[in-house]
Amino acid sequence: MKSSIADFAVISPRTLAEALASLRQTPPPVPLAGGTDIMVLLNAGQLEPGVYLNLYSVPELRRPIEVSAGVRDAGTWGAGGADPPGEVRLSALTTYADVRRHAEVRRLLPMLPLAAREIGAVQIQSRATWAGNIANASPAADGVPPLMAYDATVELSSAAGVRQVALSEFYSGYKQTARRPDELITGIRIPVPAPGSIDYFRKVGTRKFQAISKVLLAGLVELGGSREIRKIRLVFASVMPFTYRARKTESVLEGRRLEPGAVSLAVETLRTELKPIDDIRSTARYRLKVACNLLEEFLGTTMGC
Amino acid sequence: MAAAGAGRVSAEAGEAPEALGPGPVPCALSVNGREVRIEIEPRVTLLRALRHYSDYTGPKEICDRGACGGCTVLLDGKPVASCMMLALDAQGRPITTVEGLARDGKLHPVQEAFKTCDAYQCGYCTPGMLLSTVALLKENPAPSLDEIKRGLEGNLCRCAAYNHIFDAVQMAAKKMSASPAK
Amino acid sequence: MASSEYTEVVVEGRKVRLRAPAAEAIPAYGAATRVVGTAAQRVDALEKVTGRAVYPSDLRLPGMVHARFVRSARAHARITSMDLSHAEKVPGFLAAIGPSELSEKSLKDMLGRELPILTEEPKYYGEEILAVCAETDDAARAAAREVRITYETLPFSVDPEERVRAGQFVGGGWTPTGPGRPAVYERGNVQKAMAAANRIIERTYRTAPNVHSSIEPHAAVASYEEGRWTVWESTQGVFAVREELAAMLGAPLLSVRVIGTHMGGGFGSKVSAGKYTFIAAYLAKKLGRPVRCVQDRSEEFVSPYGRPPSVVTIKAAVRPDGKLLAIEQKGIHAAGPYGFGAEWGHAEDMAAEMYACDNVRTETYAALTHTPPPCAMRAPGHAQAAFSLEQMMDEIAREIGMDPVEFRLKNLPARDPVSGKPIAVPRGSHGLAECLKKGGELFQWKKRRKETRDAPPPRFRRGVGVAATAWSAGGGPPASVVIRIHADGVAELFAGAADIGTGTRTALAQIASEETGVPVDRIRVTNADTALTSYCLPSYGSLTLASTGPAVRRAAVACRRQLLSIASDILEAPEKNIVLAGGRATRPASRKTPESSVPIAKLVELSASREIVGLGEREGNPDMSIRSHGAQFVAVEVDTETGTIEVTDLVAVNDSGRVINPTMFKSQQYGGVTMGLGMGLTEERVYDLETGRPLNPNLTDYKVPTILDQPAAFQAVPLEVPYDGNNLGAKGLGEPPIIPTAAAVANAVYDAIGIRLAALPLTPKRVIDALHPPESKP
Repeated sequence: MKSSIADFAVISPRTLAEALASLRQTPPPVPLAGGTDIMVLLNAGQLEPGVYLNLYSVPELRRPIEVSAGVRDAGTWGAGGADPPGEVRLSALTTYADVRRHAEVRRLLPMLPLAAREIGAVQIQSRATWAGNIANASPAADGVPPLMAYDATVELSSAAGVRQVALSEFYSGYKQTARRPDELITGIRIPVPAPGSIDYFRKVGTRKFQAISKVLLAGLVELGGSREIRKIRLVFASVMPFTYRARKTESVLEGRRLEPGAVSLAVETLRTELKPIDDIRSTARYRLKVACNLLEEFLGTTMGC
Repeated sequence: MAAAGAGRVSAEAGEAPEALGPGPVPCALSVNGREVRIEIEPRVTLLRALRHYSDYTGPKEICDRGACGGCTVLLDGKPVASCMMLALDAQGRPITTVEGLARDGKLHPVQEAFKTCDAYQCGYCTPGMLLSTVALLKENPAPSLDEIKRGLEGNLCRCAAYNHIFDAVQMAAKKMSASPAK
Repeated sequence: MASSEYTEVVVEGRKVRLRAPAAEAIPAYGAATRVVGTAAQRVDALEKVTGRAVYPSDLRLPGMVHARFVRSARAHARITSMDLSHAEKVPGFLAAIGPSELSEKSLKDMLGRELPILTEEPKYYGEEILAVCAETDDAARAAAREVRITYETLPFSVDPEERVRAGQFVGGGWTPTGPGRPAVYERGNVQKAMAAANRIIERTYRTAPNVHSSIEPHAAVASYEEGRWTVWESTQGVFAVREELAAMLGAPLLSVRVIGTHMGGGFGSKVSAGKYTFIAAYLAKKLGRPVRCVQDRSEEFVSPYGRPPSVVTIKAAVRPDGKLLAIEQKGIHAAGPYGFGAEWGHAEDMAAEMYACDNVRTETYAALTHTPPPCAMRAPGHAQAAFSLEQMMDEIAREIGMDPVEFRLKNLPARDPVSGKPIAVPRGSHGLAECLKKGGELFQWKKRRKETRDAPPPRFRRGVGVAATAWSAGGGPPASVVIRIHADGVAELFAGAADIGTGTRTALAQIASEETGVPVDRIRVTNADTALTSYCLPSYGSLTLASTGPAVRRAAVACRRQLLSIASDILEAPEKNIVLAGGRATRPASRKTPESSVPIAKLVELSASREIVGLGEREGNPDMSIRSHGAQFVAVEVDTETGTIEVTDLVAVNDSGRVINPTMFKSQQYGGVTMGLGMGLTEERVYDLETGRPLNPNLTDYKVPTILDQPAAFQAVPLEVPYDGNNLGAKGLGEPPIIPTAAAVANAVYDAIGIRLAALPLTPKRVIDALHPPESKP
């Protein structure tokens, strides 16, 4: 039984230090960023009563998107030109709209604006944050799969210090994450993929808008000179109980030449690797079938490149 | 590879500030250029602050979850679902509701275009649709059909006046580019 | 057309034939009209774009308080205890009403079946148990949530077929049969015809439960002062609400005033008073303060509204030359636990009426399910029935190698196959034939149907489909209208009809303007207010314009005569030479005299009464079957890897006689077709079979079509087949456009993938399951 919805108090810290100090209280307050998930519960009267930590008032968490230089690779980045980009850092309060408006991020990490478009309408994109999408740990999150495919790391801060956790290690089960209650996601760091990497982002739903994906695949592949797969990332949303990186299928592919035999082997591996969920949005059978089709499409179009 | 931002988040010792609420606290909103002072519990959303704690019923309460766009207002000139944020977070930032679109008795070109093109039926989704259109045209003065759809995808119209809304957005875009606002 | 209609009524056990009042004939419009047929801007456009239109859910009255329901958390249970102590402690709590206080109070459906306002034995998840009232809406919500209820859970079923197997059903449709007996319609001898036929096709089709999802939720605000209620209600029919509410309150009719000027969509769900209406009115008296009762979105999904799901098995026999010989249909639909609203699931009419067929038998079972009672939803019954009938027509046509358009044309009825009355088809044209022909041309049906399909079939497969509709839409009495033209040249028009978004107010103003010469923007329309306007049926059944419109014209003609009489004296010209337009009476120039004119305002000022008043009554209809027709042509692209269906092209042609306002006509077509696309592709209220709880009671998971889902090429085409059964020549349009859409899409999907999808909605999952049947490896 929920208590009265009136039992909702808000801490509005003015600095990060204050925010982190607040999180040391028992029980710790629940961080509230864009709020687009929590507000749904609040409006429905289903929000757990308690104290919420309003991050909107913390300037340190609103730092603009940062793009920093990486190591120069003379072969790809012309001599005398600018340093090649190496990493993109999003702040805790970076919104989907911020990313869509950022020309350099659009160019360097093209799957992010595609995901931003799927998260919801413009009205939601301008509030919802990438960090919130990670922290909320929905298996249907649209923003997490591309970040995971790009090998993003999550920057977790607490009064005790800062630590970095690979996003692919962040989830351990349904709504289970590596974040401790006293920690805040203060940033997301995304290495820019190697030049020539090929990405794939596709979401399948019933309706075009706010489909709440039935199946989503974010993929990234790096090919060598003789079409061998140097590195591949396959991340699915809405298939498993949490955002899922198909490591077994990845390892079957890595080191192999990209050719029809490899594609069918990968699809067969994926078919046994995934244990899809059944819910009102779709069935396990549909999810498995379509996940395999999406993988086939990704590898097939990559072969054609 | 340089690590952007690494180490810049320092965890200096800080004091936890007092929590506000759950009882009512003062809240000052700037709605259509007017100062609105209300007392609300911190959990009150911007939408309910406007509709239930002051007199702005232009923004509609329809889906309660940011899925319909009926509560859209402009905050700092950007469209937001007012049911998806706390009123306290909107303090000190300019809010525009449908009631504030017309200036000095003169309709906004988007309002004129919706009138001319019959871009509604029952009209209940119209305030949100108008504000989303205003925001869209501000960012993209000459949107393609696809861009119009993307800009308005979050605004549901059960009467499905969508085709006439396309006409209205295009008409408004033309008018506004012919005589750009100051 | 003179009125000649008789209505048979029973007075003290005696049958009496009532004649429609005699009225002078006013012929339907000729070709030349000045205002009718133009795209006049809505008379309430300014209010709608400025946020000044006040809908009932927007209304704020001084001292107003808020009511909310406490709803059942079980699909079927007996309540063993209710603890209000925590709710009473919520600051601002004012009152709670329980089922015992209202044990005598119920809503009644069209056939008199009852639905309790509050109950101690809830029979569907979300059924209303208590109402609480508090100073603010937030406090009312909090208090509602604080009520602690314990239940003894009882067995339930949300599956209509299971309930029919268990004998838990009543007859569906308009003829009540009592428990355990289906409603049966029969003509000819189906058994014999089937036995003699060499081609018989049978298939079972399923449609899903849909929810109206009007953008404005159900809402009422009631105030009570000095023995009288004023109720602002988001409704399609203020007079229906007044009658029902007065009866429930046990109060005289005139003690209740209902106002419904602006309302945010109904689609059939706001035809009568709701539980929220009664609660608001009851509490307003009890507390002596205005009470607002507005549902939130999650409640909209568990309230007694929605299109019931149906399971229709249809069997047809056809001659090789394409003549339909027999149709046999067994239809099951959910009717909720009370049978209340069972008349709205009827899927039998369309199979019986649509095509000429001598042998027809239908059986309809209204299953007593533990789901919210159904109600009318845009084209009730027909939208479900078309999914089976119009796919069957497609299947038969393919079976006998005939073009599905030709096959339909071959089976058009000249008389209504059920009533035997002639179908209003003047000058040898049949509305449905015209729609099919026109749509076929615009869509390039013949060419596109024969386009060769790629071999081997590609990932994205294309197909085309067609489906048709007919809907009784002649309108009729009662409707009476008053027009008053004032000395400043402004006219007031008083009509009882609600404008549910269709533009009724504007169309009526256009009709009034056409006759009186008062410009549309000088006509103030007062509508849907029981204290100011005359009795009128709710705006449902696509009858509003064809009912009230002719009464407006009659009232306007009465004004016109008075204006012309005065103008004739002033302008010294015979009445027939005077034109009323643009706010003036004008005698055009002749060879002898220059043009001269006088403002209508002046004519009114000079009139003996200082105000011109016209009264108009709706005359009766001709003794015919009056139908609106339509045809839809659809092209789809099916992604065989993900199962998604994209509707790429759609042509909708509708014949509803005279078009009063072409823009608003198209708005109805776009709106109906889009709702049909939702029904066809995405909309389904899903129940948890374990608990009977709806799993998707929100607008994220119950997917109504968005702007992104509009077909890339979408043509809405009005087709004016002349009709002279009323003085406008107009028939209804609101419902016909939704009827054939889902079937047209399914027919196109069949054309694309060669598999008939027989269950709605046509989701990606169903497409994938059809392409890769479950027994095969996924």
